[in-house]
Amino acid sequence: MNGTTAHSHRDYTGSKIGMWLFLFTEFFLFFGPILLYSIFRFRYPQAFIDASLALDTGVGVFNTALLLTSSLTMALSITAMQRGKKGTTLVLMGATVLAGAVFLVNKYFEWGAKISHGVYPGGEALEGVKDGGAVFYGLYFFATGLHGIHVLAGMVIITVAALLVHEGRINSNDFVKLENTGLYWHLVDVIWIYLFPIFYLVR
Amino acid sequence: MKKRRIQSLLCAVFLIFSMTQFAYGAQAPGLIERTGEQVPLGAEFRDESGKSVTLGQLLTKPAVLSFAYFGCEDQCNTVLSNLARALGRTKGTPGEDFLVLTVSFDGQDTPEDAAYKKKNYTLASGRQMDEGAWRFLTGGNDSIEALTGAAGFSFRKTEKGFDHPAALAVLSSDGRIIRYIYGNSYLPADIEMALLEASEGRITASIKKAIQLCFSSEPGGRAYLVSVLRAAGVGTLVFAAVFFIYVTASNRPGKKDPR
Amino acid sequence: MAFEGTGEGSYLSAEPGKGWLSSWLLTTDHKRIGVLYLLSIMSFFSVGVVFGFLMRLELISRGPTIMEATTYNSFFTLHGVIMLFLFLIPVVPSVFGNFLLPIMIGARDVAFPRLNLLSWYFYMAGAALAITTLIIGPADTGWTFYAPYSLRTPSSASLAVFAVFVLGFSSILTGINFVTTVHRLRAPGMTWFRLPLFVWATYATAWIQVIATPILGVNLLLVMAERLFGIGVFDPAKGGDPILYQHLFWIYSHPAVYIMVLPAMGAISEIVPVFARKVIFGYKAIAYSSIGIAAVGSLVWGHHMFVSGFSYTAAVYFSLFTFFVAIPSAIKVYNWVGTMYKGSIVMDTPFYYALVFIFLFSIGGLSGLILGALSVNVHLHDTYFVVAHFHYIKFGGAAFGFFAALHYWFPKISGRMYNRKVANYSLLFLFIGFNTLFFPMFVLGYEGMPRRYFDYLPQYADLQHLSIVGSWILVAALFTMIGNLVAAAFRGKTAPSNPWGAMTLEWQVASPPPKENFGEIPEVKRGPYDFREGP
Repeated sequence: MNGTTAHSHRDYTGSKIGMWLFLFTEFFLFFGPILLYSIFRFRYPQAFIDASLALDTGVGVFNTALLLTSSLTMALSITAMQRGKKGTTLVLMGATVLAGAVFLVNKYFEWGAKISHGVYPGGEALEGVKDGGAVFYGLYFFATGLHGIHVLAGMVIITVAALLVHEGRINSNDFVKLENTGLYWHLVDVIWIYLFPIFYLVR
Repeated sequence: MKKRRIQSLLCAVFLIFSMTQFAYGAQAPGLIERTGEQVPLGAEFRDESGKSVTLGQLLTKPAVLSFAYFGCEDQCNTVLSNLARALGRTKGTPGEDFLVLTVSFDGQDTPEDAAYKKKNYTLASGRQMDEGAWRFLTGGNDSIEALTGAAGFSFRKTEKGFDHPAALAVLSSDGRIIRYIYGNSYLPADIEMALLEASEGRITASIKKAIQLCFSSEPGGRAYLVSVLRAAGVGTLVFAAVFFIYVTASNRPGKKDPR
Repeated sequence: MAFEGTGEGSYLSAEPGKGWLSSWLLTTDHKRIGVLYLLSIMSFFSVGVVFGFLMRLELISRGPTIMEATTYNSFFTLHGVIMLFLFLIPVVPSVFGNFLLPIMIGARDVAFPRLNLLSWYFYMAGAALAITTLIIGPADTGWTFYAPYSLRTPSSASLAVFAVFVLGFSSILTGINFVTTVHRLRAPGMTWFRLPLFVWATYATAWIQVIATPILGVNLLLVMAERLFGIGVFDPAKGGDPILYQHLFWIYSHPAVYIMVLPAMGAISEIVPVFARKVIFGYKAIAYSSIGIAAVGSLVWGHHMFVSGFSYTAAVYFSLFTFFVAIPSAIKVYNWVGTMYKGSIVMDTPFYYALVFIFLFSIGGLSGLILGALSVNVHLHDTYFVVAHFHYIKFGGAAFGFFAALHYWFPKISGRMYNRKVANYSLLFLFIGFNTLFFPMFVLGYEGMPRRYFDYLPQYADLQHLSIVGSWILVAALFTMIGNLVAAAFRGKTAPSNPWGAMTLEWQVASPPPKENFGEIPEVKRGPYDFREGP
């Protein structure tokens, strides 16, 4: 890094603005499927309710709780960093990644169950379904899949941040990277908070 | 080492993409192009007076072929009235230079329905047309299937009617499919150009456009969609404005900057 | 390299401890990134020109002349994709925004220099993917990728769609970077209303990029998911609705028109006052109209779908919005002319280019109003009139604005001056060629010639031929114009730091600018067009 970048790297507010703008675009990415969901829901109310009833609310609730907890551990890890407790920070970040991993494993089994019943785009259970059921599952797999990719990306980012903490490049004087990592993880959480009710609860 | 790994990754990505290109087959209702193929000239239909005719007898000139069902309340009417408007403005005269065939794909439609439609749409074109210029044909399910199948059109019967694509096919006088004209609105030149190709017997690729489909059960959400999108658009702008005010108000330049 | 050694300590001089290649490809200097963009974008532009040229040439006689209809179909897709996504959308913000925005606001670099380099790599990756579709079988969907056709065509639409997605990512990153830079890195005393108008325009564009591009992104992801897995959202056979694709598509693509035009307008707003030696007329009006265009432009997408199954009320509503968006554009034209009025005008090359821009853009805008008028729209829809209209806006507007900017800032970027006489004559022939090429299309469209055909009816032959001759003149003129600049980059006379006598900050540093732009961050005490004291 040359001197040029060093100036802007110390700009704490600048990094924050940039991160927020990025989250803004991420939010828009999910706005698309949510918009389509609301349009199709209006068009096929009954089919959407029926299809939604077939989803396992129990797994959904568990996953929601899991993500909320992980958001908490992430926030706590930032507080720990502010207080200079490097060890606690790393443990809390590890817990966050672990929660993300469990979330994905749950998702894997949830998807697997659906797929084994032929309920997936192009699957035999949805063949010829024109009343909106196929669209519901199309959107369900698209939105939760896209969210899953974000969870995975979040886990990778947290792991990288943890390495930086370990090396001391994120420390109690300069932890904006950790804060932005936290923001990203909260975004992943918030998106799930929207996806969960529209697919599992609103009936 | 690292370079090679990136290379193989790129190769894999390309491979997946090129494989998936063919994974998606066409499904009903829709249109699969059968350019260059022959429509069944022996297929029998009834004209508006109920007289039995074969396609071969009718096709003495290049022809524009359109499909509709006469009980349709939505897109068929748009297709037919736009076709009528275009026919009113072509340089060549329908009946003299070319023919127009509108074939019903509903086996229940009667020659009376056809005669009624014919009267309306020839009137709508605003042009004097001979009796044989624009034919509205009805027929049995066998003939319908033979013709629509050969032309690549597919339909789906629903409780209320049919779901079907909106497009025209242009035939040469020997019954070969020259080209398709997609959509539900046509320029006179669209038709003339295809007919010119038809008279020269030159088969060409169609211009791919958004193919429009007609739903017997018109999805009610369109108006709702517009209002949802409008609300979403306004919401976005408000959000952006609030964010803008927030960053402008809270971060005066040079205030916190150590530079 | 061409520019090397044209000034001690300039950004173009070799970087110690780095090879020549890595000093460019791994640079985080916004100026070098701007130059990288310039070179790559110009190469893709040339490719796009070749496709356009061949498409015109095909129409020299009726029937298949040099290519078949299928080839023609894929040519217009490629011409559209390359010109829009690889040239028009990125060109002014990425080249001049990158090079000038930090200097104009008195900063050493953009807020996120490494992100900036990353977005260039995304751009190149997207471009490479788009070019790959050329080799493995070009898409024939048109640049809009309308569903459901794009869902079924067995051509390389997936790859083309993915390419546009990657390009969108590049666009978003640039947008985030510019918004943050303008908010955080303005020099002391550089208040909002002392910002040069080019900065305002780039800033407004950056907002559109941030707001609108993700919608395009998710729409393209949906098309890909549809192609790969068949999720059914746009597929009527599964209960989906292809019209929704068009809606989501135009939510992005209408504002994208302003992504193309706004920064070009910003460049014109810089050039006009400098050569009129006068404070720009209605600074705030222009600044606000930039934001206004960004805002209203986001709401007018519907007018592209007049005949695609909209209700009548919605059509009227969007027709009205089309007229609204004309207002901020008209404000700008009015202000430019107002600036020239009673100014002590110095006629020089960039100013000529700016005048041509204003003229062509006005024609484009007015023909857009004709199209926007509902009743006429139905007749002209899908004819050559539409083709002519958007070429006047996009080529006559955005691309000529870029050429103007290029001739205005070339001495700053390269440190050398081009041959102005050659540049002026190139412009003359560009102007003649452009109008000979595209004006007949208005008439052809009015007479009912439908667009996208590789063939035409005999009655259109004369105007088609005139238009083809125009394409030859245009291509020849482009060739001389670019050749002149390339020659100047290698052998041009050394340019002074402020050849045009401008007041904005970029002209107060050496040509080419030093590595970190400013030895010391300047303190700004006056507006950008305050010519009273002289530079």
